[in-house]
Amino acid sequence: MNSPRVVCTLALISAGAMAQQRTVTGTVVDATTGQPIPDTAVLVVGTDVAASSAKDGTFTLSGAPSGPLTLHAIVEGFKTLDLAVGADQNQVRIALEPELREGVVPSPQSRRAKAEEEMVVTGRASRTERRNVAVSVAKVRGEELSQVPAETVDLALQGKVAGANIQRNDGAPGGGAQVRLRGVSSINATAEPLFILDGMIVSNVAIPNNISVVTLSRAGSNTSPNQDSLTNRIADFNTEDIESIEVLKGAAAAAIYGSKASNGVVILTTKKGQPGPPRVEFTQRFGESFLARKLGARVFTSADEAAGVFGDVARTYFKPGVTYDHDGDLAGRHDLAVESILSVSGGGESGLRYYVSGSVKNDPGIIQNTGYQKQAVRLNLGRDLGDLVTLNVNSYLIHSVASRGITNNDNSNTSFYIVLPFLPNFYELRPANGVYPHDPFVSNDNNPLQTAALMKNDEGVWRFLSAMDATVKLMRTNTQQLNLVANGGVDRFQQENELLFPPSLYWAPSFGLPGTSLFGTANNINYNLGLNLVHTWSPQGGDYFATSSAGVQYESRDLNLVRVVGRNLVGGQPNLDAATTVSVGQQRERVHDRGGYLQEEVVLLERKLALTAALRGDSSSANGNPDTFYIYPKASASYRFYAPAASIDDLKVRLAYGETGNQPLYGQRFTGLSVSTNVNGNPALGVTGIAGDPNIKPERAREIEAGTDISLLEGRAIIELNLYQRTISDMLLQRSIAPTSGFTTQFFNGGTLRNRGIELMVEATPVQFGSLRWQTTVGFAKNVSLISSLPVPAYNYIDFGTVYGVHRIEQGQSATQIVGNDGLKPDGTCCLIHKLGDSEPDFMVHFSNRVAFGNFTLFFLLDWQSGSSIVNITRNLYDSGQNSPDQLKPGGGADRLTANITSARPYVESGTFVKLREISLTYDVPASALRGLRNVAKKVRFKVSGRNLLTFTPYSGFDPEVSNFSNDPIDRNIDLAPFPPSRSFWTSIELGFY
Amino acid sequence: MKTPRIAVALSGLFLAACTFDVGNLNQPGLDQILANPTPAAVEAVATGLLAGHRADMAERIGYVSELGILGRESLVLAGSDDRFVTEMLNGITLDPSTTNFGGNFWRVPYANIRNANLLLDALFNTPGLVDQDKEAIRGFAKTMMALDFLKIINTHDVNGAAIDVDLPIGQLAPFVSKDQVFERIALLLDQAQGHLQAAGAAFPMPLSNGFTSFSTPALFIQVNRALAARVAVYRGRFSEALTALSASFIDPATPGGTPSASTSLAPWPGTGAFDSYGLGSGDTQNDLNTPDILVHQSIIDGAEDLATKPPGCTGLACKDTRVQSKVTLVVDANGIPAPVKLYGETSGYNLTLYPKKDSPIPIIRNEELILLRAEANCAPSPFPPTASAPGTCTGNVAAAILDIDYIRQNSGGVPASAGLNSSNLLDELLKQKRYSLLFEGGHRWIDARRYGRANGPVATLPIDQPSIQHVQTAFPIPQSEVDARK
Repeated sequence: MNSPRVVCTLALISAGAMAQQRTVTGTVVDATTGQPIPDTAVLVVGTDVAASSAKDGTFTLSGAPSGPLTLHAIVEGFKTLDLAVGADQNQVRIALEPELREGVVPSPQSRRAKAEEEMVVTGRASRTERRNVAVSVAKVRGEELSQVPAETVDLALQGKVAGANIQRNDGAPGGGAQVRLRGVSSINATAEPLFILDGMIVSNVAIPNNISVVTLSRAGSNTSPNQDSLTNRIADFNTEDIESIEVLKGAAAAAIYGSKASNGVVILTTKKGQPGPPRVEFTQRFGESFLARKLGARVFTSADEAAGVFGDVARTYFKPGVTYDHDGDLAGRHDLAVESILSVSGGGESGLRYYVSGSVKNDPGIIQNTGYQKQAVRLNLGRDLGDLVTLNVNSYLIHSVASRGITNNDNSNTSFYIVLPFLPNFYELRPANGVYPHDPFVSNDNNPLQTAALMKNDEGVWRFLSAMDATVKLMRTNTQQLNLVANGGVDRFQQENELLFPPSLYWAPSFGLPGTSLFGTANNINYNLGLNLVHTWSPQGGDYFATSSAGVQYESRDLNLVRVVGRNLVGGQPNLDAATTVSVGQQRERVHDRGGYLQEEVVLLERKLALTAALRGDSSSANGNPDTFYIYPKASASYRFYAPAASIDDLKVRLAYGETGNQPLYGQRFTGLSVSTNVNGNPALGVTGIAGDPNIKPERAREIEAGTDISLLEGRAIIELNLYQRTISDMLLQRSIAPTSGFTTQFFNGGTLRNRGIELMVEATPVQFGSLRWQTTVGFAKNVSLISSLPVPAYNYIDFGTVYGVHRIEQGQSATQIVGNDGLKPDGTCCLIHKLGDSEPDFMVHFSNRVAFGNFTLFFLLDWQSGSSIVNITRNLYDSGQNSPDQLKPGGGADRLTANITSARPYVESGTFVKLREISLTYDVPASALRGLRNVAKKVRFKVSGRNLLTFTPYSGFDPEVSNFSNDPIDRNIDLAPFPPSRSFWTSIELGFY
Repeated sequence: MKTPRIAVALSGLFLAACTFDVGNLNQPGLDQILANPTPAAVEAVATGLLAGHRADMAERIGYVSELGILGRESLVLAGSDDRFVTEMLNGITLDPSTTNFGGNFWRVPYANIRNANLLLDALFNTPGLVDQDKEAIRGFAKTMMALDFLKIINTHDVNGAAIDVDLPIGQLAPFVSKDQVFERIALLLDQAQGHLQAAGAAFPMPLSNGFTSFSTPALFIQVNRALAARVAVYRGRFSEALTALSASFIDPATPGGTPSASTSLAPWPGTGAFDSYGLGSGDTQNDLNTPDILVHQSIIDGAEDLATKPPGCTGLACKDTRVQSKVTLVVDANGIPAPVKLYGETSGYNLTLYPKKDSPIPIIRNEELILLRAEANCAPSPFPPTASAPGTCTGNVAAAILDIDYIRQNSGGVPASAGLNSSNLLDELLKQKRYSLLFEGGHRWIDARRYGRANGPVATLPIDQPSIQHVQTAFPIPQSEVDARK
């Protein structure tokens, strides 16, 4: 500080501050009892002046602007209040109406959540009160996420955001789910949203575990590596650490994220410490999972009938009236699951705030040797360095192991549900005297129970993530504030896939080189660096204010994937050096991105009108020209009507437009020659069949969103309605080119995809009577997709052909339509191709309810998806094995198979479902009882809960949430021997010590 | 106000014109090979032609397996995919939309033809290679290209193909007839012979283990001529075939002659050129030894008894050694015969021609050359035959019988033929080809089609379930090709 100019500037600022600021003090009390309310957030509207009420309810707002102002008081359990304060009034009393049932001590954690809820993300470094935001931003609080334990954070979001279609890919432990915001926005690039954690872009890549070298899933009619039942890495983040999730569903909200945001942005914010004594929270859970549904098999009545299907070999084993439950034998385990979570948070007078958490989880799967284990530690530290600088460091370390069995498509009769369709249920698979019987009905003798018992498919992840941000108050007057916000971080993970198929497996000799050991290691590093300047201006009078922000970002990601396959294992040893035949593969990806933005947000006309405009420019080394900046503008406006009619408290109308992009994937610009094949050890080069485009550029999404937010009956009901149209042009496509050219596909930009939709959310409190309180939320979303132009002829997506039903990219049709054979052509050849379905639902509804009575709270969430279609190839397997439970019934397996010669209709099924996604019953031990226990614990809560307990669906397969191709943008809803789904039950106890 | 200044400076750095480019970390670029070819890269592309040719041969969905199904040599009975039966045997037509049930016999050879053309183009400006080496590479590349075109026309037959495909991506070569494709194949083989004759004593690049007998340009000409003989026979140019055979590695050199001591008629190790597979990292493995590849019952039923049966023999043990050596009984864990029944098809035998993951697959070998000579000497007429005139030998019938008997006795161990004449010789010849070349790349299917014996009154391809099954005589042009030409 020896620069005279800096001293001078600071002196000026503080002098100005002293001249034009005032201090407002007051007390927050319960309007019904007059008791003081601690921990209330009191904000001066239009500034960032805020305070928290002390134990006696008092607060002090220093630095409030002179002139009349409005205070905004928020605390969990009470209705939020806005209070006008006169220019010469420096002492106020804030009386809040209670909102909460009796006997529950709300935690400061949730109080802060409530306050935060009013602030939503609008820029890279700015937040704005929701009331002044002109776009739809869905916000889900941490406690809503962890209402019922979910395996991963994306699954915890299921049914909680209208317009977000979140579906599991299969039942395999450890996650693997798709998140589609407002429909599918890309065909050949990624369709996953951008995930941001504490301001930092985190990796959500899904890396194949290479099990396809055993299942040979890529050796058939489909060569996609996505059939390995992938886990997308957002699974690593701990739901319990999440303070809130904000979902920017479209370009209008997400434009500030530029060329990575056309699939929307999901912003996760972790919990932070608050000043005060240490708060200790401990949760212990016990659970069990059960196979949710069985497929069953045909019951044979005579040896002749069995021999007619399986040949004379069946006579040896047929026993009248004896059947075995193969589904249950394979997937009938329900071992005890345990999860413990401990967190300590608080803050000292020195300006240090901390939140520390640790968790341990062991969640065994329903199939032997499957399950999910996770250990995680989080350390979030915040520190004020004097009055001008605030520093936050949020660090996270996790280790997880997901054991995922062997499922999905195969061509080697190794996948569990590729074998079972061809196995009669009079044959027992369970071991006798410790010896598994061979399966005489499959050419490689595979007994799936033996496979499950001896195999290993472990995906281990070590991930370390550290996100840092520093805010420097460069200038502060009573009307202006200029902050420098610097953020950065590193996200580093190593995924190790260890798979072992020992030579003692009955099917191992069929591979020629018995025994296979796979080892894959993927190293990923993401760096983020950003600098932002945020200027706020709230002139005297306080009825309008403006926020300007500008910044630059640099992000890089680097993936190095090495895979080793060892075959012919000496003595069955898993080590790769025990293999006589070893092959190695490597794949690398590296992308550097640069970007900058300017944004202006203005609120004026007594805070009724809010206007925002922004411009972002992005460049990326994934683009054909790495130095070209692509510009993404946005603009939005909203207008509020205060009490425009009786019963309406507040009505806001809004209109927003924004553009975003979606980067090409690494390598789509290159046409390379394959180096990974040699000829008897001699170097060989050759074309790969895939041609890149040296001019490839990001897809561009243009979205217009109109909506209204209505608050009714003093907040008893809140309605949000959104209409949007998103048009994606310059789509990243993989066009099929004439194979006579030596290439089969080429990446290029072209075509236009349009998504139109409507979202409606209603939150209401229909009943509030004494200690009975019923809160309900209904969300409705409908999206209609249309490929409005396609510069290439319609083509089939990469699945299994029109004989079963295939996604087809076709102008004038939905991007996710399913077409299939539909009768002979007039000339007698096979077959007419017609649209038979669509993997996107017609509409989705979620309906969540919380009924509190006394110390009990019942919560349940119904998730309804209507009208999507599924290609059920698993059913075709049972039918062609003449082994379906309904094989010989009219319209059953035999009839389906006959019809299938010319039609795919029998296997394109409705995927409509209603699921009881979550249900929980909570009992809070009353405060009076805790006092009786000498206040050892301040919170004692018992909970029983369940996830996916009930599914109502006409779908004949395991689960209408299914995807053989994992997170492929288009190829959802292909059911081919998936991991069976489970339903899970949990009991838990939550303790709080403050 | 230091910090903002730093901020501005850093921002400037971010947005500055300094490049953040990342090249292709995984592969050399195609353009790089064309613009700046090094001898090492060019030689790798040349060796790569062998990888490109074998790429779609040795899998369940490959050339050997699928042509075996269409020609009723083999079956694939697999729970994981019913299309080997429901489409390939039962289908009214074959599905043009799938990439691997036929689409691969178009995509894979055309990719390798692109490689060969890339190589020929790059050779023009490769410093560091002497002309003799360039000629050796040209001769090799054109022979391989001919082999790839042969794969295309063998699978797509009357549907035709495109031949002038050395065009920039996006430009389409016109389709020509089957006859024109064969004309191009013959031309390429003849050009290749000229290049090889102008080459030096050795190839600059290594070939695979499948060419150990033909590892120099001079020896490679023998493979080139062997292929020329096959193509000439397929075109009905029988005297051309005999000429080409005389320059090939055929042994014995004349019908009824004495073979050299080193010649073997066994598929492996026999005399011939092979697609080679390996267990090393990055090498391709032969995946044809899988329990779901089974033998078509007609192969078992049609096998003749041995000339000298082992005492007390039963079943297979009494039959043609070619069947005994290529086929094995399916048994369960207790050694009891366990025929596989699926989708209405049954088989009790597996194929054992390729017992190991590195078993080679014949491209062309001596046993075929002897049978080609018999065919050329027979010179069937009319060519192609018709249902009413299914083919009469018009050539040197006696020479043909000598070669047929040589194969019957030396390869099959069955007695010499009896009663062969110009009208029944062709069918006997086709039968010997069926057993000698069993499961080596669709010979039964191709031969039956060439002589009108795939369908119709003189069909020799059996249909197991006549009410629902069909014999397909060609793969359709892939949908992606048709679409690209709309």
